[in-house]
Parts: sequence; structure tokens; C-alpha cells
Amino acid sequence: MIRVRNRQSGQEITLEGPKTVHQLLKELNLVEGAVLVMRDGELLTRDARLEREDFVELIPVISGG
Amino acid sequence: MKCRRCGKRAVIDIKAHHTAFCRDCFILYVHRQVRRAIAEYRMFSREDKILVCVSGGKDSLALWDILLSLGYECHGLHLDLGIDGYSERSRMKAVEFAQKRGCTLRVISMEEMGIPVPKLAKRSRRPECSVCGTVKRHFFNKAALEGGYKVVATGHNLDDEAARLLGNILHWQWEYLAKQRPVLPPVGDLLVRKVEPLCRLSERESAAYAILTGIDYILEECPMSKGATSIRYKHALNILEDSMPGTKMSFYTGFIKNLPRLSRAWEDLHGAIGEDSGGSFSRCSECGSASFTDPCNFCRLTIESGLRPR
Repeated sequence: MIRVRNRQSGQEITLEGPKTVHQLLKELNLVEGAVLVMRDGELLTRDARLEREDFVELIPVISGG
Repeated sequence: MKCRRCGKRAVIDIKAHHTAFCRDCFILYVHRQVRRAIAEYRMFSREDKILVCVSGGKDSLALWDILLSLGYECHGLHLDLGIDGYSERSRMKAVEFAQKRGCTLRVISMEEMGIPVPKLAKRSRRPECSVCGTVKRHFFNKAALEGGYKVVATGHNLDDEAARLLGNILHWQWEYLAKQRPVLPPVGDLLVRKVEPLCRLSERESAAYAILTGIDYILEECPMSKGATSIRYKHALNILEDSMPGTKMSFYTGFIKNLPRLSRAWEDLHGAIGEDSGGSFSRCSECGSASFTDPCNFCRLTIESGLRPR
């Protein structure tokens, strides 16, 4: 399972793997412009493959006010 | 995915430009986009002393870092808005950045002046974000005039500006549309030039720059901005951008390019915002700031709320 943590809210979920970052965002109903994805301190492009046992962080980028 | 420039492993892909970059090439790309905005909109020159307004968030700290990297003389200004907990944490990020880089940062505390934003909003019964905007505009300009700065720079990015444009169009805010541009020229000795050098960079690019350059910014959202309409506009634009890359950029830059064609609104306001014109501005009889009205928006807010700055 891929562990996915939202760095802003601290919320963590697990998803089936393997899959690409693009597939992960689709599954979570997130658009690419709203979030960055990191693994082991590295930013990932949308074609990066996520393996089972990977731990990834989602970093929301939209701020308001 | 490989870096389009050097062929190394890419860390960010930018659909709007059909490209992807490794860390180092992305930093070059960001610097190039900011240099282009500064030149294209004639924001400032090497001789100008710049005051960068830093909130502690990704955009303003990235902007400060970029301008320093490009060799501009710029100092920081942080407004501590007096929002319980959040303001202390934001302030720390700005202070730590300034300490690490060894740059000058002025901090103005709304709490110490007796006008914290939540209290002002409550007492005046105005929306928090509107009160916050009034307070920021007032103190950014005031601090720039006091410090002898020619230019005030803010970290507004492409998403901020495209969302603002969408909101102004949805509600046909002509006056705001006529004033929306990446550079607001100075008005005599009343208002300093205001610029938005990140206007060609998306919010995602700005966040990626902050992460890749090791900038420690405040990730949490302002508690006052929950449910803000600007976030909804950004979301709507991101959905369009996802299926039609480049939409935000063409929406915003197309508007700026065609702005003079909105002739009536332009001419009505031209005198007021034209270079060094003075126009229909006058001085507020309470605080001496430039304003269309007397008292100015800031003084009206503090008078209404019964909280005058100490």
C-alpha cells in the first residue's frame, strides 16, 4: 500500500499501488495546479511511478484571502 | 520525465509551457520569468530601493529570495496582523528568513498599535479579508514613504491575479478592473509604485521554488481566509487549466494587454492613477495618506471600530 500524507492537515491515507502521480491525483480528485507531490524529500513529476510501501506527501499550494 | 534543458531527471513539469525541469534549471526558469515581468511591465530599475512585503508565506519569501538573487537592493516589511497564534508563527518565518539571509526586516505589530485585524473586523462589522487588505495597503505605503523606498513589491502570483480578475469580471467591478495591473504607478509624494513581479508564475511554481531553495514558509492557511471566494475562483481556474493548459496565463496577460481598450473605465480613472499625476487623490485629514475620500479607508475603518492606532 502507498501511504499518502497531507503535509498541511496531517491527514494520512493508504492507497493501492503501484500507480503514477497522475493516477494518484485523479483518484484523490485533485488537480495538478493545486498540489505538489514529494517522496523522500524530492518533488515528483506526474509520470513518476509510486511503488507499494512508498510514503508520499501532498503539499497543497493554494492560499486565499 | 527528463529536464527539457539539461536532460537530468525532472522534479517539476509545467503543462502550460509543455516543459519540465530539474532543480537547477527550474530555478533559472523562475528567475527568467521574474526578470521578464520586471522588464516587460517596467517595474523598477537596478537603482531603485525596493520594499518587499513578506507575510511568512511561500510567495512573498520566494519573491524576496528571487530579488536578492537577481541582485536588487531590497528590504523586507512584515505586518503582524494580530491573528491569534497564526500571526506569531508567520512572523517567525519572516524573521528567520531575514536572519538566515542577513537582510533587513522591519516588523510592524497591529497588536502593539491596538488595532489587531480580528478586533477591527469585529468592531467595524466588515469581512476580515477586506479589513486585512485595507490595513496592509495603508501600512505598506506608509512604511515605504517613511523609509524612502521607491517601490513596494508584493508576492501576488498568476493564480492570485487570474482569480482576482475572474472575481472582478463575474461581478463587473469596473473600477477594480481598471486598476488591476502588475504595476501601479506612483502618485506624486502620496503613493509609491506598487509591483507584482511574480505575476508570470503560478502558485504551484512559487511553492516549488520555495521548497527547492529550502525556504521555510508557513504552510498553514490563515484561519480568517476559510471559505474565501478567491479560493473558489482559483479552484475553478485550476479545473480549466487542467484540461486547457495555459488558460490562466492567457486570461491574465490577455487582459493586461487589452486593458487600454477598456477605454471608458480607463479614461475615467486615468487621471487618478496616471504617473505622478496626483489626479483626484487628496490627503486624508486624519493620517495624511493619499485617498480618494476623506477620511481615507483606513481611518474610516479605525474610526468606525473605535480603535485608533497608538
